Amino acid sequence: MTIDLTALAAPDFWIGVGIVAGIYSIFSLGLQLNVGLTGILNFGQAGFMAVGAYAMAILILRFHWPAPVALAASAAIAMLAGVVIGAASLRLSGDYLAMATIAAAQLVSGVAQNAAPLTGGNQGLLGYDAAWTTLARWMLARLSAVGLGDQSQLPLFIVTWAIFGLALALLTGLRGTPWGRVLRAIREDEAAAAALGKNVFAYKLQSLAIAAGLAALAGDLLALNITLIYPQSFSADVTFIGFAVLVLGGLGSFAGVALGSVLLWSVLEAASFVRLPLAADKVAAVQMLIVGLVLIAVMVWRPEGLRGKREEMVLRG
Amino acid sequence: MLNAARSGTPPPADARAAATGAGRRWVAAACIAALAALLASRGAETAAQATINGLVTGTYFALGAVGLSLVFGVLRLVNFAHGDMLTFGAYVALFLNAGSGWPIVPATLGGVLATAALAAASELAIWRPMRARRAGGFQMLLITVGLAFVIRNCIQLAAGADPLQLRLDVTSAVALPGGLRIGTVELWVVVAGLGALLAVATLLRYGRLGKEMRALADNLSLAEVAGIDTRRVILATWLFAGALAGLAGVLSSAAAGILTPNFGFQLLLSLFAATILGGIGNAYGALAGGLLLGFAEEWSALFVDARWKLAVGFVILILTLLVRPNGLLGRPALK
Amino acid sequence: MASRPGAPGPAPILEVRDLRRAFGGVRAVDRASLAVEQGSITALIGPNGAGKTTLFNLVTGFLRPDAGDVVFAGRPVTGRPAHVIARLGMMRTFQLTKALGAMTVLDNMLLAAQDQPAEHLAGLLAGPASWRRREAANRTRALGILERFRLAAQARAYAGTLSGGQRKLLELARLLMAAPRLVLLDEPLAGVNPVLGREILAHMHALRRERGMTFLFIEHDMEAVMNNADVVIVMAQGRVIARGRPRDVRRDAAVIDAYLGAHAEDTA
Repeated sequence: MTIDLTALAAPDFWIGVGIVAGIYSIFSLGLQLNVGLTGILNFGQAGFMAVGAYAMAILILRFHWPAPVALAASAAIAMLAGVVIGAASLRLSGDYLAMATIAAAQLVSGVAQNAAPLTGGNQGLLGYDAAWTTLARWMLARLSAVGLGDQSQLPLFIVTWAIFGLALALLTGLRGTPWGRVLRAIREDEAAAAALGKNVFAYKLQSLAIAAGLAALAGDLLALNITLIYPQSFSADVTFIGFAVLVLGGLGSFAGVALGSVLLWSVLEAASFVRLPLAADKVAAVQMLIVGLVLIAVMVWRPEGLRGKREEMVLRG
Repeated sequence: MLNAARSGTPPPADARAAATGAGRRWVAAACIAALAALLASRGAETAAQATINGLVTGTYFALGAVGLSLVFGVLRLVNFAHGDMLTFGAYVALFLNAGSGWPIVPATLGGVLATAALAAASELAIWRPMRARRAGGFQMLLITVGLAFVIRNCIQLAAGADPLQLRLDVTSAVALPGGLRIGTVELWVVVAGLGALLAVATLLRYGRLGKEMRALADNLSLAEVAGIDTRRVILATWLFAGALAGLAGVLSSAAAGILTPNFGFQLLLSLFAATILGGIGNAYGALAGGLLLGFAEEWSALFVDARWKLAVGFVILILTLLVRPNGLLGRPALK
Repeated sequence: MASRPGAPGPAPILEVRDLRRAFGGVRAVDRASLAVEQGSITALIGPNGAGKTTLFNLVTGFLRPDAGDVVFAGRPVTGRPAHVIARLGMMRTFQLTKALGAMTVLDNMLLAAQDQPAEHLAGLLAGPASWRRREAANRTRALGILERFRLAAQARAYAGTLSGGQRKLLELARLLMAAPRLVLLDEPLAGVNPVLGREILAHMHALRRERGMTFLFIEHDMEAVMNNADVVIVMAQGRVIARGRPRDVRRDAAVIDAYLGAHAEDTA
């Protein structure tokens, strides 16, 4: 077993890690809003991600919409999916909601597999990123002025973290409003919130819809990053990697999500550079093994995560 | 998480559980009507063949769901690692059978025992210490998710992701009256599975352990006060659930003829559906729910493309949660 | 007069007619009827398991009744969701205090304010300046109320750090912030020391006097009931068995029966 450290020193390696970490940061911001701020166990976040990515790709490929419009529409469609799935499931509490949402996500995956004329089935979809490639080339030309023109991944890195920054600012702002205060009250005690006249169901629905929108944006960026989407790109594993990011950063902390994501993905991607005498499927197993161990370790030893506040932590149970 | 709903103020969701006898009759009538329509439209023989297939599927669904439901009943824990316990049992049996050349019966027993040991180990290493720390439901739930990842990927690390097969004769079949057929392996799956389920049902009904489990499921602290050794009963519950999961894993992989590390997790949602259908925490309900779901999935293949079979499970899961969160057979909670 | 169940008073703010709710085979509330007069302090008493808390849950929308009517301030509210009923001006407390421990005392108060449009996403669109103005006004009002309940010093502390008695006071303060017309208190004196108990009762009388609030409270402390309630309603086995002035109810044969019967069962 040898470890090739030269790969770890290459900037394009870290840019690649940064893109994935950024995508999962956006994805997990939604989970933070749901789990950390509203107290709803959304186990179907990967399903909303799939809805977003497929919506964008299908609108571009099959309906020839301009890419920016398709991007915006994909978030809107995912939010709509959030409202529909939420309307059906958000009266359930705790574990039941977790089961219902993960089942909903599996349904999305089933549709992606079986509605082949629209989604390409298990072959997936590609070629939706022409407009993005043009934009990336334009950005690279600007970047070469400052000597960064040979970092082909840099445009996606910049766009990803710019979107994360905007989402972070929006959510942090929202948390400080009276609206955010109602969400925190619901997270702690639904009955108390209802007794004070708050429409608990409506707030949960809004929370889930916003999270779904964020998942869609993350899905769009993921689609641009991997250039081919197929149903397994959005398996339930993705949701649980998001939960690992979430609890690592700390429940309730939006900024902690970025910290957790960068930390987790640095470890995961570095693990793939450890030159174990292993086939690709076993390297993937090592990565997901780490995700599982992170989930267990954080929940056992530091349930508030790296940046959570103990006083504000409500672990429903 | 569910405890919250049981103490203090009842959540508004409780109101929907109000319909009792009338609702149950209505559902039963609807099921029978649907079944009649099915028979009428697809011919008796096709329907009977689908029913036999449903029995095979339903048997291993039931085995898996009973273990899941026992753990939920006693510990109020939705175990997301349960599906991967099925996978574990199947791989151990496969390793002994195809790898070390054991005959299928001892190899199956090996898989069952190993899975029971794995479940007991998880109790001793994780669940008991976490209960002592009064860990919240969210913590426990995510630990089950983490455990699922660990089990699945340890298997993938050891055996790779390529599909494997038990050494079984999957081509031979037994002719049944009326021109129907069932594969020899499938026949054994049904016989072994139903036999195990019957044994478990008897044990739960009449054995001391079954009574103690019910007491714990009812009220853990009261059972403790009543002098029941709760640690022993909980450990026994895990052993039981593990053994059933191991058997379910071997039988389902034998019936499917193929095994991958994702196999159990893909079954998990069907097991959830079966559990919820029967009223979560109710072992007999899970048994019935498993069989019912098996039939439903196979019958659905008469009407829609068989690729949607799995989706039937998800739809049933969601619909049951919405319409009767306490299950078709479950009683509405008292408080 | 004492034993006419549910006899309507001159101006009822709350009317409950033939309310029913069963859990499985247990009829927790079984055709209960009662009326609460505007501006009164009414006590709801009865042995354990009489269905008092269930009645509260049914009236305030936390449970759906199987049958019967609930009319609040002339408006039928039967089966309406809890938050709608609260917004109409009928609010309740719970047996176990529901101070929101992971929020500050001040946030608890601001949450109770019913006039903050920025609690809704649409309301936020008007821009931060407008809701911050409302927020500042609410904060001033909240601090004034906290002053009155001797909680102002703890305004920025997490409510979880308050003592049990302080949490009870915070719940009352929160109610005053929300300014409902009718308040349903579920055992406000349970687990409270006598000094604080007197304080809570004094607040109740003061709020009625100053704001015209009506109170309906469940209580087991008979001395507190007899000395503070204008009207006492007695429940047993899911029904209202008596209603009247405290000294009349005290002598009512059915009431004595219900309590003695329940007592005999308790000791058996």
